[in-house]
Amino acid sequence: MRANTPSSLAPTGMSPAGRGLRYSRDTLRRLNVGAVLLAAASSAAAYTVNLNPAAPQEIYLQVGVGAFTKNYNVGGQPGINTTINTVSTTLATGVVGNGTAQAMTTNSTAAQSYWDGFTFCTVPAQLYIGGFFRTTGATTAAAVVTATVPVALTDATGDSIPFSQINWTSSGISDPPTEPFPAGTFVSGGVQTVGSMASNTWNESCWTFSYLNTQVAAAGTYTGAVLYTMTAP
Amino acid sequence: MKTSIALKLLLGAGALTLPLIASAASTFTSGAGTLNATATVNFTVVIPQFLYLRVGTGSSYSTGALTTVNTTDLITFSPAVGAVGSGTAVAGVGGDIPGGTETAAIIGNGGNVTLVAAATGPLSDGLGDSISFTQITTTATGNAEPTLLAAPPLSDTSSSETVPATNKVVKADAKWTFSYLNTVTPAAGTYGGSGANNGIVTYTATML
Repeated sequence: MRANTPSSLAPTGMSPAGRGLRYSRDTLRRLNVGAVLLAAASSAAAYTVNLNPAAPQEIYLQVGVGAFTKNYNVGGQPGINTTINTVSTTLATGVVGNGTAQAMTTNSTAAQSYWDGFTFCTVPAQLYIGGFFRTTGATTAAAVVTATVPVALTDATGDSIPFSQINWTSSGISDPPTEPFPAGTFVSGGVQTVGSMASNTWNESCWTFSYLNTQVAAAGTYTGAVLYTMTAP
Repeated sequence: MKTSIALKLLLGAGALTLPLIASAASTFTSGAGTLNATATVNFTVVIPQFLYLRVGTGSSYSTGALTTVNTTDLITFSPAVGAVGSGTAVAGVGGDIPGGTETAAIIGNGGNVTLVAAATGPLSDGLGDSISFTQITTTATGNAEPTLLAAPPLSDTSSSETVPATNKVVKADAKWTFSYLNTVTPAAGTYGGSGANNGIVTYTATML
């Protein structure tokens, strides 16, 4: 027997929470998914979309560019994007260590959400972070996203800048003030929680990074990589 | 049923291969039990090399941007009649800090710094009379930074000192107070005050 069955990611019974300030996006999403929408969940101070449980249990984490066959809300399936995006800043000569935070930019081109295609982040100023945690039915503990942070950024001659010199704010176009991946500051040499998501939800934020610039660092190009890990119970 | 078996095989293959993805911007994992998905972001901060020297009037080096200020301060010593050559030091007038005192600072991030104080000769009155720069002393006292910037002693030629860096960074300052020793009795006149009369001391910082 051969039968066409809906994708395991078919957008049945999805509803966004925290929609109060995202009228334009919600309108767009309604146009996209039409009748499959159910009533909105109770408002929450973040952009979180409720997903219907489906097999298989699955998690998806995207920091920077991502990979999807098409948007989730029209049946898209997640993929692996092996790109590693960079967040960087080049200081002007006269401001090194003057205590004025320096904006960082990213080479990520991810402005749209793979949830619904909505232009959510402003690039190159912001870095997209988002994903989903879907179970086969049960409501479980939240999935946690952590950042594994090196002690310092280093240059080719062994100089270093503590990772704690980098912080970030969190927002998103049409988003309410509170985000699922909130603002923070790196903890040098630590593993820190940067967000979480309840089972059967899609969550996303846009991060704007800054170099705090509170110390005079030796001249050089400093690099370091942060590993983000999403763990579902 | 065949569809179900194929799906299980596919998921099994995914579970085997996904852990090999060491770095990525997006990953997903499927299946029962604990799941992990990872993403990596590189961070880069580019720090330019710079060297800042201030003696006297200049831009702030604690807040805002370092800028070039083309001002040359004038320190004047005027021994009173009857006290010329008495050996009692005479305080100066002028400088960006009252009392013949100058703010002095060096900020740099490329290693040790050499500071040179250079004169073109003894102070002259333009009539052939002169006073050696060794009659002027410089006393350094603490300012805003924890590292005191000592002053190179003045002479009729040049003198220098090395300001050591810590982790390639130099951040030192002081208040330099100039005094006239007044141990000689020169001819009456106005000495220095301009480049023509050797009245300018040029301080030069060089990152090694």
